[in-house]
Parts: sequence; C-alpha cells; structure tokens
Amino acid sequence: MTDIVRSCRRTWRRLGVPRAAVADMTAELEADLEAAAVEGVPASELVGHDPRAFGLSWAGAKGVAGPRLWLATTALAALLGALPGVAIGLFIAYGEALSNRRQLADGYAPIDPEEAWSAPEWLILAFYVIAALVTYAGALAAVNAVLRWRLDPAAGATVGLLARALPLVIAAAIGATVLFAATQGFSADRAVVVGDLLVPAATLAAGVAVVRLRAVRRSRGRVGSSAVVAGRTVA
Amino acid sequence: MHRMVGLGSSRRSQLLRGVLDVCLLAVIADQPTYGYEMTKRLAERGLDIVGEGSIYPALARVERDGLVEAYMEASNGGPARKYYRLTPAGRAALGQWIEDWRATRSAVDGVLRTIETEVST
Repeated sequence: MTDIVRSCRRTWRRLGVPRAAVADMTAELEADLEAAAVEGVPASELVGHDPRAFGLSWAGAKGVAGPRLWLATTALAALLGALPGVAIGLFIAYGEALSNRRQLADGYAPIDPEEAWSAPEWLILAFYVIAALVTYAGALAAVNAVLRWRLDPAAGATVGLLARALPLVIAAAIGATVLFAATQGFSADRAVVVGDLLVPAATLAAGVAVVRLRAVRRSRGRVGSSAVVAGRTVA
Repeated sequence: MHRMVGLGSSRRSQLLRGVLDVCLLAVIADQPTYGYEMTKRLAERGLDIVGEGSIYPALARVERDGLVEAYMEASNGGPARKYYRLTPAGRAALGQWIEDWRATRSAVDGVLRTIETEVST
C-alpha cells in the first residue's frame, strides 16, 4: 500500500466513512495507481499533490462523508474535558465539608466549633468560579479537538452553540447534583459520592448531546444538497 | 509574465472542470472504462489539465446521479477492476448536455468574435 493510499484511508477513517466504502475506494485507487506506476505515470497526475484533500473531495462526492451525529463521542469528549474543572469543584466542596469534621473509625464527626477553621467565603467562591471556568473551557476545547480531528463538517456550529449553551448545561448539572446531595443529606458515604459524580456527568452528557443534535440538524439544513467536509463545501 | 501564465492555466482548469462531467460521459459512452484509463483518454484529447484528483470525485457524482453505473471486470493477471458504463439516464443527459454546451460555445464565440474584430482593427 502506497503512502498516498494510506493517507487517503486515514482521512476516510477520520471522517467515519463506512468500512465497505473505504475498502471499495481503496481497491479502486490501488488498482489505478498500480496501472499508472507500470506506465511510469506519477501518482500526482491521478490524485493531485494533496492526498488528504483528494480523499476528502472523493468521499464527499460519493456521499459517504456527510455529517454524522457522533453523539456519544461528543458527550464523552465534553465529560473528559470537564473532568479537571469538576475535580477542582468537588475538591473544594468535600475539602470544605470534611475540614470541619474529625475522622472516626466508622466515618466522620463534626469537630468542636472552637477548633473549626473555615476559609473566607470570597476565597471559596473564587475557587468555585475557577472550577466553573476550567470546566467550561475544558469541555469546549475537548469537543472542538475531537470534532476537528474527525474532520466533522458541523464542528464549528457545534462548538459555537455549545459555547452559548454550556453555562446553562453546567448550571443544570450543578443544580441536579445539589438536589441529589440534598436528598441524601449531603452525606459523604461512598455510594452518595458516586452519585454526586454520576448525576452531573449524566446531566452534562445529555445536555451536550442535545446541543450537538441541534447543531448537526442546523448544519444539514444549511448545506442542502452539497456535501460539506471539514468546513469546505464539495459541490 | 509567470503570473499571467499561471492565471491562464488556472482559468483553463476552471473552465474544463465546468464541463468535466460531460467529457466523462462522452468518454464512457465511447467505451466503458476505469478511472486511470479515463485520465489517459481525456489527456489524449487535450484535457490533461483536469487530472490531478478531479476525475474520481466527478465520477462519484455522476454515479450518484445515476448517470453511470460501476461493475467489476477481471483485469489482465491482476485483481478485478472497477469499470464505469453509461446508464440510459446518462445517455439522455449526455445528449442534452452536448446541446447545452454547443449553444453556450456558440454564444460565447459570438461575443468574442466582436472583440477579435475590434482588436485586429
């Protein structure tokens, strides 16, 4: 397999072109490049000097590289990107809650109020703001990186829409988590802590998936009959 | 000067791309063929400039439009090769497009002829 074919296959995989179509295009291209090589014709006369652009253009024209939903991929990317910010937030929340409790063999007990120390409220608030900003930026950056890598035609639309909707989604995730924690009496039991992690994760994933769905639908509406691949329209 | 030559080549390439699908259908109507051979046959007729990656997407488009259909045929000693042949819809489209092209060419020639007369005088 030549470098050109390898490069085209890589592009098609990134686009999410179905395996059967990749195999079909690979076989056709390999056979033609082989015939050209036998006659001393350079591959560039067939596919040009940019195999990636050629691969994009061909897949777009064949209609095997249209916008795909990538819902799970987008949601997972957002979750992983949000992880550092969420970790900061949880560290502050549990750090604050646990700092004024004494560890016992079977859990925690509040310490004497005179021994208690609490960070100034403005400092805690500042850390929460930082956590929210890191969550926001991390989720956006991760979604952008994954969709760009996938050469997704709706990447820009998704990131734009997510940039506007993410504060609401994060607020919903925080609200759902507080609600869940309140129903559990803000317990630090392991099962509740797991729930405290799963509830915001599920809310964030669901919110991001809805945003992605809307972005792809809008993108499809705009594109009409043309195929758009990685921000460029293939007529 | 180099820039002018470059612009000329780019303009010619753009013009040819506009009628590439007609040319592809004409070549296939002549004889069913495969991608590389199509490039060669177009080059033999002076359309060497359209190669470079534009043949395969153009073929895919006319195939999607139902104007050509692909089939596999054994090649000499090698694996089966993908050939393209015209469909009845492709034959009808080719006839229509040839008429369109001739009408366009005639109109453009009419405009350019006036300019040529003015330039020569």
